[in-house]
Amino acid sequence: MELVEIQKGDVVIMEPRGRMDTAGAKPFGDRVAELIGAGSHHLLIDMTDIVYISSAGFRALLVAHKLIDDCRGKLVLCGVSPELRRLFKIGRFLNLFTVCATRDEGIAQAS
Amino acid sequence: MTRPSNLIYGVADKPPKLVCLISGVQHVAILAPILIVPILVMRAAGGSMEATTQLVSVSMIALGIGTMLQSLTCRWLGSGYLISFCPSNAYFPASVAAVKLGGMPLVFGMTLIAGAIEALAAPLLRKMRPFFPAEISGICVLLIGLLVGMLGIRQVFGIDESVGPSGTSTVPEIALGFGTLGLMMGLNVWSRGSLRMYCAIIGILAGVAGGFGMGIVNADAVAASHVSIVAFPKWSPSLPQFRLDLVIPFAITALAGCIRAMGDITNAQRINDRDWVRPDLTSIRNGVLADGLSTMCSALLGGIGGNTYSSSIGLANATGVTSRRIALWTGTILIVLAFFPIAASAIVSVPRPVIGAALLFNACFILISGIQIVTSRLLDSRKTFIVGLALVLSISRDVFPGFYSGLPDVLQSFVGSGFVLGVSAALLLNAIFRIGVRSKAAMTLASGADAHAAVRGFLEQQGARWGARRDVMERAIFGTAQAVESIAEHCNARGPIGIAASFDEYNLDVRISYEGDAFMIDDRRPTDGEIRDAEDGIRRLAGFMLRQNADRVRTTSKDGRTTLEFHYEH
Repeated sequence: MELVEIQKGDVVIMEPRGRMDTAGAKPFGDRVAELIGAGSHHLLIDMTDIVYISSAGFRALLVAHKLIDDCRGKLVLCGVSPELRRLFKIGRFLNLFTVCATRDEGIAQAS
Repeated sequence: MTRPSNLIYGVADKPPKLVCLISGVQHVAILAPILIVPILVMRAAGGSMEATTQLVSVSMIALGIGTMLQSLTCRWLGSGYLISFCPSNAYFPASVAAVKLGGMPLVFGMTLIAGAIEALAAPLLRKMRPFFPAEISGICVLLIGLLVGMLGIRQVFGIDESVGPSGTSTVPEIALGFGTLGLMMGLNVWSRGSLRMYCAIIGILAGVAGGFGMGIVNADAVAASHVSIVAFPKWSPSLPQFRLDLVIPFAITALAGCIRAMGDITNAQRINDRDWVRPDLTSIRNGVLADGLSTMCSALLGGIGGNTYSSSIGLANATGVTSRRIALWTGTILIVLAFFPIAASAIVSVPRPVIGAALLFNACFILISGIQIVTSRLLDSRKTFIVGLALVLSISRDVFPGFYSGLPDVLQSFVGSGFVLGVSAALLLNAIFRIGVRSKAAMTLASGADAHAAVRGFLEQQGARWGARRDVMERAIFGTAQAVESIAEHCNARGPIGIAASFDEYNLDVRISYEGDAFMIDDRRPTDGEIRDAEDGIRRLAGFMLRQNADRVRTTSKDGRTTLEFHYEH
């Protein structure tokens, strides 16, 4: 999985690309932990280029959510396709994460 | 459900009370032609005019209750759509046979049995789904359109088989019929808003006024004009009677009613949903149950068997008002009118050519809906034969009635009407063509292979080959990829993983087999904390999501080999 990062004000936009499965979840989780450790507490994860997310990917998102919560930051998701939204729904994650329709809306929510 | 742009008020909308009232009156008005069915049955029984008026009054109560039951959105009852309940033409031959053998008590008893058969068939429809595909629903709607259209032609031209093949209508009567039809069509095509919404009732009222001016009056209305204005409908206290030899004709009529209700409800679903893909079987099951119970209710009140009224769906579509709230108004108006015998005679007083015009107007919309349902699926050679032969056989019944009436008695129940013949042929051909309809494909995943890419490639390719729906294939791709990932990570898989997929139009099944530890599928979602921190959190979440993702999941383990089976309804 490839990871692209963009800084927009105090928000770090992460663009994971490819598959967030067992192999992809680890580098993603490690990078989120590094960013939080470095003081970035406002994260927007743009899921537009995620082609598959498994239970391992959801765990990575849950861990990120907990880390951000612990430091009173904000974690927001955007670019969630209908198929990804369906998976969030069947995994009962929709109420846990803030999901925005557009990146601009996501930045506003995460700030 | 997405509301089509041509609808002014969709099924879940709440139109203003005035719109509800006028639309309700309009739906009651188009029931007028079909109220002739109980009158004809009573005539066959040699009943008096008073008895006939009473029968029409109790029929109106049954129609009111049936229309309201059909619109319910309860878990087990009611399709949730605006579909009027009406005395059914299909019950006419069986009811006349019963009335001649045992009078009205026998009609009521056998109708009670027919209603019970239809109600009991409703819960079986889901399992029987492969035998009632969209093209058969479409054929039902199409044939009903033809039936209604032919009835309209008979009414306009005065064609009555018992008198002879020639029409008895005079030139002014034919002119009245086509003038009424022209007005309805003109208002529907070139007007907007209220005029379009009420084109049917405007046409009927104009036709009645025109008929009055031209001296064209319905003889039944004249005969019934002596009835009192307000009267409590009399309930027939006689106990219902039963005869074993009439069970088969009534059972076949009940099955035809079941199929017709399925077709009507499918049609209502389609006109109310721009993105309609396939019949909603829960709504159909509940609607067929409501239809069967309504027929039982009609029998208990002393009326004859009924069915969903295709013309009401055509009217709702034509006027752009399909709100289920209209059904409550229509039902209430019918029940209230039952206490006014003069109203029953007024309904029957609509001149025959005007009734014919209303039937022809609605038949056009029903026919086109049927064609749209039939062509909503890719028509392969199997479906081509089903649709083509069913249509030809159905039409041939009316073209060559002498041939069909000469067939052995045992077949008469099936060839008694073009509608039953066409639908029976479609059902039989569909059952035969189920042979060899299932397609299968398999692949093997070697350890260390890029499992997700291989699974996606395999299932996407097969999905395209089978013409499977994209959303169902996406579910299967996720389920298979997630299962393979979990097997590799948590089940100590030894050797390759086998994946087999099989498909027919209604089912997609994926079977994954491997040598290794058993796979646990969980009904309970692990908590967020368990997913994050527990050693088996990811595995348990995977099991839970796989359970939610498929319509049915089964795991079996034998001699160290585990098989996972995922079923997806298509």
